[in-house]
Formats: sequence, structure tokens, C-alpha cells
Amino acid sequence: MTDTDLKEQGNRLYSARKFDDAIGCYSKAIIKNPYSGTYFTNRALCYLKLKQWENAIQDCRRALELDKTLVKGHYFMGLALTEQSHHDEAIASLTRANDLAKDSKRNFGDDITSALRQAKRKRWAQLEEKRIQQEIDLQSYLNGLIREDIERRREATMLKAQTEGKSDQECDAQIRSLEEEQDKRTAEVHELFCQVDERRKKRDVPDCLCGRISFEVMRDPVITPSGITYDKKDILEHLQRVGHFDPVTRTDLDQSQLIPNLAMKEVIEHYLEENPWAEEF
Amino acid sequence: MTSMEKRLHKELQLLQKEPPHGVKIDVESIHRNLTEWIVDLEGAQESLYRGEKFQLLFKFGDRYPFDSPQVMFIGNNIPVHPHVYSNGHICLSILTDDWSPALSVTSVCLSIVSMLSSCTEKKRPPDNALYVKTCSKNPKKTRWFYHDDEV
Repeated sequence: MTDTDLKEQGNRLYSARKFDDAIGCYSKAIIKNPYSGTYFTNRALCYLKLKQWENAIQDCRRALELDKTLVKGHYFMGLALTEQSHHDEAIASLTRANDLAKDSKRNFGDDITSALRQAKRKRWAQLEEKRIQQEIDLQSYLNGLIREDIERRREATMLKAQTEGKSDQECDAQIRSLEEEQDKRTAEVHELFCQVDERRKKRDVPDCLCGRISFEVMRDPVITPSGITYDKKDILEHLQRVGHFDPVTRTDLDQSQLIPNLAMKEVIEHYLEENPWAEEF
Repeated sequence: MTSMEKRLHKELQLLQKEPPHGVKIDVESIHRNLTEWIVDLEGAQESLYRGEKFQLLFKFGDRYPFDSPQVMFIGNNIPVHPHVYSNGHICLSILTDDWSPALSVTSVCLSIVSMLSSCTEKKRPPDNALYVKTCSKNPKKTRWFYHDDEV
């Protein structure tokens, strides 16, 4: 069998979800002809299916060494890196894949962009978790400082009371006020950190970026002759299931009248760029 | 999460954050079962139903919001109104023929409050006795005739 035959056989086995066998075929093809990037990216995809991220990354690297413009090389590498939580590198790979796919005008549908969005969201979640942990650490540290400060002043007060021969009552009163101060300061710090938390919970996507049917951030905004913008999949479903009218204005509407709202799409992309948490909104 | 569940979650959040006047939801009950909501309604101040409290039951199917929800009054206090049958069924066109996926729980509640508010005489629909005896349990199965838009 030639290397092309082996590749074809590998592809058939892949379609039948026999990934291990497909890997065997691609490996044989690579031995016969080690200069085709496609064999490596095909094998990488099998490794992805088997969740062998490290092997997938290695194959992508070798494919890209042969041809650094292979969209699939960057794309699969990005997917594997995302799984390994190497988010920065994953985003770099996926961005490269996205750019190359755009340049070559090849249609990968929404696959690469959605992988890129997911990688960005995961990176953000990771950073957010780190920030929260840092805040918790900072709060414990501040509480510790307050406690130490009060303790030091309490000892100083007691020492002073002894040397100056003050009454126990006077000394107790001073210590009580110190304890009150400690409670007050700790509560203030707590309050401050609660506010940060509260702000985090209040995150909200502006209504105007959300579809009037799904109430979610629009992926593919289209505008109707009435000037209302909907997410494409929702308005199509509405036209099919409910009726041929604009859901908000109730004027007649036909699928052919829908126009992509590119300005809105740009605004949303820009917004998501700056607010990656909104991805799962 | 299905898109129907996502949308219901979103509506729930919005309703909790900015509930319209006279509308209240029992969040606890909804967290147990997202597809059935009980909403507390209060008659508007300047209406015949001032001070009265009502309960609405919303049931959502898998195809919500492309299919309208089932909406009816439940509990001991069913408003006496020309479009509300004594079994809680409501004759309101947006709940069936004129439903649009751009409507929501909030907008349905507001429509019902305003339907109550515009009433000038508290009485049951003329065919109440017959309807209640013969109708299906599901108000959406009724072929409504929206003959009267005045009330």
C-alpha cells in the first residue's frame, strides 16, 4: 500500500471511530512518507479523540515544522493546549488558526472561533480564581495585622498600668476599648471585601447585546425591516415554528428579509474581548 | 442546559432583580422545578381588585419560548372578571393565538394585571357554567374566541 492508501484507510477507520487503528495507519503512512503535514494532523485528531493531549501536541508541532500554515495544525494544538490548561499558548495557537483560516478563505464554520472563545473564557476563569484566592489571602493577612497591632497595644497598656500603678478598672476599660477597635476594624475590612464580591456577582451583560428571544448574548445578529435585531438561529426557529411575523413589532416578516447586523456583531465581539466572563452568560 | 432552561433562568434573574409592581415570585419553589412557576399578583391600586391577592401558575413546555406557556389562576381567590373562568382559565389572546417569543413571564403578568385593571364590572364570563363543565384541564387546548377587546 502507498502512503496515500494508508491515509485513506486511516480516514475510513477514523470515521468508524476506530481511533487506535486509524493511528496505526497514519503511523505507517508517515514511515513511508515523513514529509506530509496532513498525516500528522490527522493522527493528532485521533489523539485528541483519545484524550492523549501530549501526543496530539507533538504531532501538531511536527506538522507545523513541515508547513507552518496548516490551519488544522494550529487548531488541534490549541484544543489540546486548552485541555492542558495552557491557556495563553492555546489562545495564541487558536488565533493563528483563525487568522490563517480567514486568509485562505476556507470555511471551518464556527469551530475555530468557538474554540477560541472557550479558551479565552477558561483563561479568564483561571485568572479570576487566582484573583479571588489573592483577595482571601490579603484579607487574612490584614486581619492578622490588626490582631497583632491590638495585641501589642494591649501589652503596652498593661505594662504602663503596672508601672504607673493604675487601677484594674481603668486598665480593663482601656483593654475593652482596644477589643472593640479590633472588632470594628476587622468588620470594616470584611465589609470592603464583601463589596468586591458583590460587584463580582452583579456582573451583567447589557440588554442591548442580548437577543430578544434567547435573552443571551447574540452570536449571529440579524436585523429585520422593523429595525429589531435577533440572534439568527432564534428568529429562524420563530419563523418556522410560530409564524411569519416580527416577534416584537408583529409586522409581517420573511426569512429573506433578514440582514446580518455586522455593526452589532462587532460591538458584541469587542465587548466579549473585554469581558470574557460574559461568554457563559 | 437546554436553551429553554437558559432562557427561564435568565427570566428568573431579571424578575428577581427588577420585579414589576404587584408581581412577586416564589424563587425557592422554582429552584426545585424550573418548568412550573407560581407568581403572586396583587390587584392594582386604582382598580376594582385593589388589595386582592391572586396566584398565577405558569407551566413551560420544552419548546418555550416558541410555544406559549400554560397560564392560569390557582388558589382560593380566582378574580371575578369577564375573561376569567371560575376554574382559573384566562381568555387572553397573547396566551395562545397572539403569542410571540419576545413576550416573557414579566410581560404576561403585566398584561394580566392590566386586563384586571381595565375591568369596570366584576362578573364571570357569560358561558362560565358550561365552559367549566366541558373544558380540558389545559387552557391552551380551548379554542378561544377573542370576541371582546374592550375589557
